[in-house]
Amino acid sequence: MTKQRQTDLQLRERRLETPDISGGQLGWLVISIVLAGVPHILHIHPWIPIVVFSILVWRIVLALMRWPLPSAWIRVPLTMLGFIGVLFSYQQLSGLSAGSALLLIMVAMKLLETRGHRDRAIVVFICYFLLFSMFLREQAIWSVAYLVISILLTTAALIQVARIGAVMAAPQAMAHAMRIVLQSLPIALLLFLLFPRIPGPFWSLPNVSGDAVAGLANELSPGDISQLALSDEVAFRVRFDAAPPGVSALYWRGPVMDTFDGRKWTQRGTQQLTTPDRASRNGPAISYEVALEPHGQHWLLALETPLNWDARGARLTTAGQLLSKAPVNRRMSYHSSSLLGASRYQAIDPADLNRSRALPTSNNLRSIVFGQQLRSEATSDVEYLEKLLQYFTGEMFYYTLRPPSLGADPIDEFLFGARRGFCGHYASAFALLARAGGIPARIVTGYQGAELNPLGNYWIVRQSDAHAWVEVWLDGRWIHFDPTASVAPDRIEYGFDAAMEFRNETSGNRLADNPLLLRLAMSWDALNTNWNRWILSFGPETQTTLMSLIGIYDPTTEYFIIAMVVSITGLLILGGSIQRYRERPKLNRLLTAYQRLCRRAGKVSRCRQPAEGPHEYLAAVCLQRPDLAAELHTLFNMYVQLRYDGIDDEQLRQKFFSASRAFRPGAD
Amino acid sequence: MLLGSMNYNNNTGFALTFLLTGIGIISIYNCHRNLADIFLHFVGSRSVFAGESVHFNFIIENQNTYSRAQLLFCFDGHQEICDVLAAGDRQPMSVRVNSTRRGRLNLPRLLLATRYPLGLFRAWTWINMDVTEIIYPQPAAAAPSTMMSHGGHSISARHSAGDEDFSGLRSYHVGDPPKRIAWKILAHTGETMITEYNDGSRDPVWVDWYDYPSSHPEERLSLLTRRALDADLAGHIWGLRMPGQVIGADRGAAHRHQCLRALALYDPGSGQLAP
Repeated sequence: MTKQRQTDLQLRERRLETPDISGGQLGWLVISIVLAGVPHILHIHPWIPIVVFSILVWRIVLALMRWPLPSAWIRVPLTMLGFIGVLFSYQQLSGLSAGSALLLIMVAMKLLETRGHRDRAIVVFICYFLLFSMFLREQAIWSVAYLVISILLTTAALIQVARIGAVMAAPQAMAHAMRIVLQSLPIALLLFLLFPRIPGPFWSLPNVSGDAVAGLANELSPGDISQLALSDEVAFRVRFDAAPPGVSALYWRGPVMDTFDGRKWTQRGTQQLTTPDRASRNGPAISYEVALEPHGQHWLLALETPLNWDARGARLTTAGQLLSKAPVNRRMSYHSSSLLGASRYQAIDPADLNRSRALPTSNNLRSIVFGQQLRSEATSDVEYLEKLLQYFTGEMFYYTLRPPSLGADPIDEFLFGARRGFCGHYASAFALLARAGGIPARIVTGYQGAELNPLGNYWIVRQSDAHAWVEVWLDGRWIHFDPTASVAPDRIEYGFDAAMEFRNETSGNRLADNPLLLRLAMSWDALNTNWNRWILSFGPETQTTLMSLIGIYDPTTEYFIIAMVVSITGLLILGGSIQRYRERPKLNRLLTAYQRLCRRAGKVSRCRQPAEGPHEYLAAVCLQRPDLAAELHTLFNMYVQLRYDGIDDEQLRQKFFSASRAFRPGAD
Repeated sequence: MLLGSMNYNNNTGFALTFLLTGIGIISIYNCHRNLADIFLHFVGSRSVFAGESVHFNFIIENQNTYSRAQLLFCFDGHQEICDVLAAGDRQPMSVRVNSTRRGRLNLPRLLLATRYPLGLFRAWTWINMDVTEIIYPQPAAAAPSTMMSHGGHSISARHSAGDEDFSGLRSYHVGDPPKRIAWKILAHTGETMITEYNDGSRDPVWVDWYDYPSSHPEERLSLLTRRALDADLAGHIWGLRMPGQVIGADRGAAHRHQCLRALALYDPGSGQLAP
């Protein structure tokens, strides 16, 4: 046959292989499209699911009534309309929402022209992609469960649309899909672990959720933290290596603000680096692991004062802030150990001190005068600061999350007017008064406290645990002051919940009242934490750690590629060989067993001649070794029955295999 | 998807991408596994007349311990699908090839292919079996009415002769019509005898090349085929006379095949049988 003819035949074969779609295949495709579309429904314009649904119904009706599919004259304008509709609704075609909307419409339209296998496979591929894009919105565990089911069904659909002739029964198709997915899991796992991860992103991240990422801000004006206080979102989770310190000692240090313009505190500090002063440690260090939720900023949270951290590229500034190299855009975890108490750093930036003395010149003058007056009455800086704390305790200050709004001189209004506020107000007022007394002072924001999850043996720090406190410069070091503690000691002692004036001021999501619900919520959080810890925060760092486990330190990308290719190829060869061996033809097994039997018999008597049948050989061996005759008779009989008498008895087959394997004649 | 996962550092996206990659890789393996170790045994075929279809019969066998699905045979634009072949199972499979002219017909090259499971990959193998079938010449529409017969009788004349005139018994040959078996003698002696009648059937009918001197060789062969078939159908003893070879008078299926084969393989150029 000529080459031409061969190609011709293949082409014809391909055409023959792909008859038009059958009803069953259409059903499977519709299911895939619905599964792929559902996660997107809430995120796209409501007209899109309606249009997609209509097209699906239309297509099903066409199939049921055996009407012809619409011609290109109808399909092309409809497709154009879909494009224009998406463009009109989103002003773009590329974003996540616009993209998934467009894909949904196109995949439904594709169903109107499913002529061959290729068209049908394309529908399935788009469904896979839509399922993938779901993960750009949502990475929680439930979405994975949904995805597993969807992938199974979509793969079953792919099996069905590739078939010639009738579709398989649904359970059978699912079983096939399940087998393929299970077989591919080891490969997927190896790829996941070994595929070289590049610290992204290549292009800027779109704002996926539509909300600002919750977290601490770069600046603080009295009143800011209240939004955080009402949020139950998890800021980070902590696992202590040893017994944790008391809740009141847990000050998680975040952004430090040293510049005050009378209305808001900002970060102006140079990002000059320092190292912790390990020499002056005065207690045992506490080590812990933080799993930080993404907040889009650079700071990493650590207990005051961090000594060690294993976050790659992270550094400590003279303001005592731990900063990561890149913004924290995905969950990350790091180990750290801290020395509780005052901040001690080797390098002190004089500019820091100067900034921490500056007073606003045009506002809050009453407070400044009040502070200067109080300082002149005190004999020392320490006494002055104590007086300030007493002032907050003695006067009628109230802790509330609903403070009255403050005007142009917020501290004046707070100190001498409303006297209602929360940590931001108290810390601001205290820091300003300290500066008025000539003591350098700065605001530290972060989180205070944590909530134990007994099920997972770790602690949860929520956005509502956000806090602000003050550091003052005394005797050549920064000393920690928390004026809020003077006003509302409970707030510090027992965490945020217990201190609330009105429980209903919070969002009401806290489940502390119902032990069963609390337990459920805690188990769910524990599951989520492990999910986050092991899956979502897997990245280049974890990969490096993993490689160091097998003795490769500081691996390069080439290592990963080689490891990946070698391990996957090895896995395929090994798995394939094992399976092929186990599934080898029955006759081959029978022959192998018989040949082994003859070989062993040949060692103690004479070898079987190539032309010798079992009966002749048996007779010959028995003549030489009458002692083996009985055993060999049984064995050869079984073989003859299986091989020549057409007896297909699995039990007999197994019996022959085990008996021939056990046949080990001794020498004469 | 990979780019998306890398850009967003999305580990679940990575997991899904790699799972799909794994599914793709595994489907290559499964596709090969679905085709590997399939046995195809040729069972046989029967000669046909030119223009009819030859059925080449095969047994497709799965000796392994797992079942196969969606096996596709393709040949000359036809296809046969074997949907499920269970472990250890065997199924008949027939390749139908249209014959166009007399002579030898080689089994076309077969393509055994599968796209199972996902349709993403296709495993295939070309099967080239040395199997040939003889295609008899196409018989002419009707027997020629009056033709010279070197044997003495014309076929039409023989039809008018009666079958009544008993002339004796002879022993049975394969292919003798059962109605001529002397059943009584069989019952008595256990010997199968054939009654012979003096209707000329004892005299061989000769299907002779030289009866049609003027025709085109293919037409000649076609007419001869028709005559041979008619003679066979009527139960005559008949022989074939061709340039370069003579097949002696006889009857029965084997004889019929031998003669028709000679007609099929006749090479008008050399006046010999084609090799």
